[in-house]
Amino acid sequence: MLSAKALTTLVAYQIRRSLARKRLLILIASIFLLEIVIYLVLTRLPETLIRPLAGYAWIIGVLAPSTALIHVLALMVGATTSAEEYEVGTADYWLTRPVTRFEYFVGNLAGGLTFLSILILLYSFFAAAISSYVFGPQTGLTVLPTTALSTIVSVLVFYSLGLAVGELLRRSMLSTILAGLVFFGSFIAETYLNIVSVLNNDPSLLDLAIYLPTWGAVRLASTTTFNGLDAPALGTVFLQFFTAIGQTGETGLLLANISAYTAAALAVSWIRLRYTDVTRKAL
Amino acid sequence: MYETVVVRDLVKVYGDGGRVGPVSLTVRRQEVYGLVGPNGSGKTTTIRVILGLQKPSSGTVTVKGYNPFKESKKINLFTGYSPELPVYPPFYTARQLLTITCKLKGLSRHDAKREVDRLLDLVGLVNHADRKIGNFSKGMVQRLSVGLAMVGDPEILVLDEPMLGVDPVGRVQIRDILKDLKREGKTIIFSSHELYEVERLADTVGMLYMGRTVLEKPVAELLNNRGGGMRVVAELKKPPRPETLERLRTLKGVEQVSAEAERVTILMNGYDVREEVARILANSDSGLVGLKTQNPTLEEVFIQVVENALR
Repeated sequence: MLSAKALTTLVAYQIRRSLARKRLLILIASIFLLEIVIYLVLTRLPETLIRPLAGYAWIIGVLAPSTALIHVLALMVGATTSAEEYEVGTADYWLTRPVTRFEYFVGNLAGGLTFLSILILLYSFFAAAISSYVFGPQTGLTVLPTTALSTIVSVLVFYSLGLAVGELLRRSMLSTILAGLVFFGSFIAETYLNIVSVLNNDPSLLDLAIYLPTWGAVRLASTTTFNGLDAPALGTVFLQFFTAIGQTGETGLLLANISAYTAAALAVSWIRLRYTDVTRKAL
Repeated sequence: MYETVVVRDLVKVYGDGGRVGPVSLTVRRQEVYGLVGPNGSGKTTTIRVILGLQKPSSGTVTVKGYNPFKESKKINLFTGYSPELPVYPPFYTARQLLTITCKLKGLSRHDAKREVDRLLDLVGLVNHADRKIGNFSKGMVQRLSVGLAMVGDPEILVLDEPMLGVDPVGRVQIRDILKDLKREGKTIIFSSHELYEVERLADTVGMLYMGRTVLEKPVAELLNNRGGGMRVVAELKKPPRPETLERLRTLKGVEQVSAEAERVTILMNGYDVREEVARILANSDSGLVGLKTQNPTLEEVFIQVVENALR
């Protein structure tokens, strides 16, 4: 049975640790900066273009980071959550207290995810607040919790991938780079498949893309948001434009893609932690 | 006495080809066990296996009957550990980390507060209790580490090089803490390079060399063993001739003979040859003034054991 004391302590520890890391803080700051820049750019658009989408401006702020930035942050949090513990030697501290390896694993996992969830909720609220302030009352804000929840679910892919690579390599920088390569490699491969499919008029190539890890992670939040908004009824230039960049898919398939990658990565992490030595770089 | 920690033929093989073992040792209840050996001899590996941080490649390890790798949580409930070169989250203060440790050990909020204050006082960190650990000196971290190991008054303490990096005042403090714990009847396993510390504190010593146990004996027996490891110092009227020294060296049981001016030091191992030594020296033209027996230091015993192991 999992000890609540051990889990809450580890969750609080991981949040505190993430906040103490400069690299993460820079990425967090850049997310909020992105929000500000987006709304600044929108206010500079011609009135005729902005009027029909003004009521839905919150969507841009909420979904923009989920295209790439939040996944990069997730993989960084994941990679350091595990690897840095061994690299620095703090894993020794936790695993020589009355904490089982499973509690340590679950506590760390939950800690990093809680940190990411708080961040997602904060910038989603920030986007909703700033869009209401700049463009007046917003439409469809009832979908905001679904969007935020979908974003939290979508970060699981690269968070757990970072965690698995970190657990395997036990070197934080190397793990971050490797997990980053997987993210950007998948992103580029997906873009390439899209372009080739359009050029050759061959939609079957798109079927390959659904096996890539970015497919579910990048699409889930926008898909659930537009489904919740009853997208066809909107018919705005904005939505057409945004649908083009925030691509959508079938929710069930997206969730299956996310679940498969997350489950595989978590299984690798757990097996590595359960059956191998707790290493320490300094020794 | 009840056997608390039992290590039998422990072998640990690392991925890079490094190997420790076979190591065998037995730590009894309320015993202070000193684990000694040079760098890379396997002390830390043995300790990490005892704590379940590492899995043995072969052999068995039990702590009060529990398997450390499979039942580490149970073991950690009654064990305190201070690692070699300890590292703790730099953003916590000493008080915060001690409080967290108390919480994990199952202490109530009220008991935890009292325990934290007691330990801060004991390890001399009262004035630094609310400073971030990241700003601590090496010695302060080491003292905090000893304090963390003592949270919840554990039955067994495992201290890997507890004096490493600590200033002389800190060393005295830690030594006093260990003496008090010994008096309280705690079972303590500690490793050290400094044989002098082990000699002063340990009841039993386990010597590791090149990854294996080369000796395990009670310290008192090791240092007072008249028939083995004894040192005889002879005072002469004149410096001895080389042939006199050579005669001493050929005596059965004499390990080492060294001369410095009018003083000859003879190390014996396994045999008491004081009578023969006295006869040879008395009959030599150097003239024997006096002969006294000295117990060897742990360091000398260690060197002797290592030399024997290398033969």
